[in-house]
Amino acid sequence: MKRIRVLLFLVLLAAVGALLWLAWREDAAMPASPPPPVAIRPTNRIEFPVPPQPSAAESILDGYGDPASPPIEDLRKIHRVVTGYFSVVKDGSRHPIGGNPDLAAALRGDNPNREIFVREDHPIFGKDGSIIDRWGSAVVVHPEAYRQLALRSSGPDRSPYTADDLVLSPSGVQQPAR
Amino acid sequence: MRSRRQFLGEASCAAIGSTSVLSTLLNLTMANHAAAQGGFGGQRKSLVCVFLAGGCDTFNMLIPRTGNYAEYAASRSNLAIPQAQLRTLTNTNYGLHPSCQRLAEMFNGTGPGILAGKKRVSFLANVGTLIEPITSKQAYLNGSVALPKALFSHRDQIEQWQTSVPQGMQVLSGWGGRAADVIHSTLNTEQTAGYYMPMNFSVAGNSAFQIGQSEGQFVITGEGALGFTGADGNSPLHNAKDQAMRDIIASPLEDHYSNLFHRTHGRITSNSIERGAEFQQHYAAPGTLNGQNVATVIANAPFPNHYISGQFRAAVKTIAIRQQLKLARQTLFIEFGGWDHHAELLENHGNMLAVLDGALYAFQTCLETLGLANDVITFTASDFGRTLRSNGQGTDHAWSGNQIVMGGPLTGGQVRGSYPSLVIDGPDDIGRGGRIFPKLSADEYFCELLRWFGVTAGDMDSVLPNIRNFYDPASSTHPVGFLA
Repeated sequence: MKRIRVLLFLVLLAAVGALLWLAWREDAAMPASPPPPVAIRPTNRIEFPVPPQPSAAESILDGYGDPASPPIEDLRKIHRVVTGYFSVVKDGSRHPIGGNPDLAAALRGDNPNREIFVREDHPIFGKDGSIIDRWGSAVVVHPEAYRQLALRSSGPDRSPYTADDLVLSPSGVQQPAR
Repeated sequence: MRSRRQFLGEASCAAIGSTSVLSTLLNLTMANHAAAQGGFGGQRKSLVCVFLAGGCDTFNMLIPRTGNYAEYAASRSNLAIPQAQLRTLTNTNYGLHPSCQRLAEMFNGTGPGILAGKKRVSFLANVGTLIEPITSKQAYLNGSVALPKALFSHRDQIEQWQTSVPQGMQVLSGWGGRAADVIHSTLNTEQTAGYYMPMNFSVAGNSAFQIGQSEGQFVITGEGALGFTGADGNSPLHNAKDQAMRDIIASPLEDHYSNLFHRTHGRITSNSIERGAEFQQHYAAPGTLNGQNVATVIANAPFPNHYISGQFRAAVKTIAIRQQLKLARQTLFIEFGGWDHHAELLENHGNMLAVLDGALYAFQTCLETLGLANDVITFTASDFGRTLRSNGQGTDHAWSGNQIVMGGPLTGGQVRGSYPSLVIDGPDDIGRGGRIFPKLSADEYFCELLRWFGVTAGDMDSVLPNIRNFYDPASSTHPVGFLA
């Protein structure tokens, strides 16, 4: 009888030990510390929940403005993000996109889903919050129809609608400037 | 909880959207054989839509001249038109862009020649696409009102101006087309004994505006009917191709078109060729009207040297032959594109306004000379107005704008509607650089035109499904008040 009690005690001890070991393993799998919260500008705008880092859109934007890549690639990255945005956000009446400020705000979370696609401290945004190209000019966002945005970078001369512009049609095809 | 009004409005939209293609085709064959009732009361009427595609910056067309000019100048900064250059609209606080000399004259009744003393133009301020009234900026911002789909985008807003159903439709039809559905067989009563001519003519290709459920649009060019085998109806090659097309559609093949759909399609195609030939016969030789040679009047009119003039000339001719076409009612669609001025606005906008000004003046001159002025209303529409704030060289996409109405049936010389505050971030600006929200709905604008045109109060809901959100069609007063 005494042997049975000892055996039961040993089994119980082993079970507790196994549980403790499993719990330790899960802790070890977690990051050492949560990502630092993104600084929200001290304005009266609505604050949106910050997604785990990086978001899918931010992953697409990896290498944005990298001098080693052709400048048109920057517009292609935005285009892919826009495609993703419209596949998630379905409401066409609220938060309409009529230009760069609307798209920039929508990507930062001002959209029907209240979802942050790109954090506001991402290099895609300039100081005034607009989406900028690698030369620092605001990208011209031209809505030809719902979900169909033409994108234009002003190019090295930083002046839109000139010969050195880079233009991407809503279908993602590069167009001649002007 | 939905109100009865909302339910009726949505039900109307659903009914429009759910009609099947087959049903449409069957209606097409039946509607025009329907027993004609009523009549046109002796007056023939034409509605002419001039669509300014691209989004005309109409807050740089109709401009505060006194009082709020400083507010305008501050908002528009480098795009502001100097106060001293504005064309005065008498008895109002407004002026017109300096390119609009003739429009100002037709507004003031100071035009030359046959237009002397006639006030033929009025303006509508702050009009746009709406599902229901927006009582305040806050109502927009807090989302308490139903909003049009995809505001600020070209294609959606063009579609919504032409359908007047800004919540969107499953099957597209335009308000001009739906008006034809309810008017054509009841007012164009001369079309009997198998004669059929459509009442919706486009001189600018296909548009949603004139597509109905049973009635369609008849596309013409400056040369006249656009046949299945090309626009030129006089060459031997054309005639041969045309005959071949007729032979294909003729009865021997009908055996192979074994189902109703194919037979209906064949009959429609055949009818189209016949209608084209009938139209062309009159269009090529419009003859005289009220003692005036139509072709000569058009040739002598001061149309500007611009492609748009060809469309206006074709419209004059099509209106002039309406009796030969047995039409008591007709609509015409003209499109003037290129108003998307994100850059170089001052120069390009001014140049295009000058063309529009000249074309409208020449068009009205033709109508006056031919004795048609009291039967025709010409009106403008555009995708949207533009942001008040300059982007440096131009303006971006916005919402509400101002429109022109012209014709003898108007009480000319008025600015109707509620001209908004042009203060950026002010009470009428919904944000991002001066986007003015509309106080006057496109529905109210169109309803007034359609009342004149002959759409009854009972039919108005099927033509303008949202109208009751703004106006009771049975009312004894006009919704806007630009008509006499």
